[in-house]
Amino acid sequence: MTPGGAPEAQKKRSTENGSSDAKSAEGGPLIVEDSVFTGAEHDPDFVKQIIRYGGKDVQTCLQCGNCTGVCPVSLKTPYKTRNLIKLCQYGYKRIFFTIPWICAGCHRCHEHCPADINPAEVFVAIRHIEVREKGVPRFIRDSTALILRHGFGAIPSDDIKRYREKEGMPPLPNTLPGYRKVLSELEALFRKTRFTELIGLETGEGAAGERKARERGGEASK
Amino acid sequence: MRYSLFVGCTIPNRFPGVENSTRVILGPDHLGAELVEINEFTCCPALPTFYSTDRVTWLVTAARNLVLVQDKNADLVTMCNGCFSSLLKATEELENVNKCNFVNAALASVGKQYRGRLVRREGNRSIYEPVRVRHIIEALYTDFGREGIADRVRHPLSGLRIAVHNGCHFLRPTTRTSVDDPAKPVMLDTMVEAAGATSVDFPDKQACCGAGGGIRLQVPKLANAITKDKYECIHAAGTDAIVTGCPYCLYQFDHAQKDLKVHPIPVLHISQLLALAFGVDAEHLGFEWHFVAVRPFLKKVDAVGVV
Repeated sequence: MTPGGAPEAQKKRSTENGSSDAKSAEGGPLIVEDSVFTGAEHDPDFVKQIIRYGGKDVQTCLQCGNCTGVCPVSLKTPYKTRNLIKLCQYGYKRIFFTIPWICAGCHRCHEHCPADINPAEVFVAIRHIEVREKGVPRFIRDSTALILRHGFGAIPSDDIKRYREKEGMPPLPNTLPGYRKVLSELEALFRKTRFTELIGLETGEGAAGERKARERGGEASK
Repeated sequence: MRYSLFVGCTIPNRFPGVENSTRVILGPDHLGAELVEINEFTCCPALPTFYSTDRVTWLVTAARNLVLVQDKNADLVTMCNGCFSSLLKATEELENVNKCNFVNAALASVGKQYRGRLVRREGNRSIYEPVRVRHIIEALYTDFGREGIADRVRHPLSGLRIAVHNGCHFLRPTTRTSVDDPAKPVMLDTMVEAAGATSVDFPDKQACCGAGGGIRLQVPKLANAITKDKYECIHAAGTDAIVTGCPYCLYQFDHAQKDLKVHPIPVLHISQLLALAFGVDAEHLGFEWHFVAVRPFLKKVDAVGVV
């Protein structure tokens, strides 16, 4: 991503769709920084949806900007926390589907929020919505496939195995024969909560993700 | 002290020396804590992967890990800020009876039940408390203290200037709890001082490393841009090494310095620093897996020993 790339693209798309969809916007286009958003991205139920997926009521935001001031990502990108919360208030949902998941989850915004909103948790709720409505980012599917296969998000290289032996450290759990049972437990739980379905591991797409994850694992062990 | 070490994903696969040095400093030769081995742990699970996509799966998977510790009469100790945040958050959510019942319904399918740790029995009633999830820095600070650590130091690192990096998820693990003061933390600094070194002050000391939340995985350029700011403050303060309590922050500082092609400052985990101060030979501490060579720092450590 180049900083500023997504809003630029967004702006372009907004102007393209502007003529046909502007009618559905409530109160005309919204201007945030130098980007113009129209009704094409609008969803009146967005605020309720955020609450349903565990975020707080963004309508109580005072727009003080404390969150932006302490956000490490706002400092470096055009995505300012305060503006993003404003977009939530207006129900501009689809804009978020074009932004990469770059909240560090450091919760500094919550520490400084006078309205106790916790923007980081709002973004977590928006990710929940995105996963259910648009799809799952690649890296999520890859890491889930790795965890289902090995129990952990990475596999140790042969060098590391030799080091462990030399130092007399206990073997890693997932190299023991009994770990097969743990992996089947994990898979059973993921099926029970319908996580495999949500992530798309069942479909061909999921298999591709798993293959890619395997290749990466092979690289890591070199 | 009975600890069950939760090593997670990053440490055994990227920095095995961190696990080894933790085992050595807690072991019988040094601090003498009792380690309970559990071989059925899985990923904690990682917050960006699970907590961001499906809170239910996250809670069930975390609860499964907690179930393994609840009957062992041991504290779960992590060396990773991510695992610490994820598991501590899970114990808090599981205090809610409805959520706990829901999770137990799922766990029943694999023959497990989360109750928490038994505190005492009152007649027929059993009183439980949440499984204690602790970070290695907090465990060392609270259970051994500055004096307890300083007593074990055989090779004081006097004169060495250390920049500490606490990491966001150690300072703000959950929305309810924090173990150290997020605005003015003392634990990691105290541990560094107990090892005989000096913890230096620099602007924006509690800033983020830039790797968290999947930024490193998706937009490495952004992660490095955030790290660069902090690196510059640390570099300007004149430090011999950066010390952190989190393998992912360690990984980010290590990698970003390579990517940014800056003057390298070695990065160590607090367990590795304490192991050096306890007189453990550096060849056991797995520094060969660090991208920024630690040797210049080790030379300084040796030089201090000669004096």
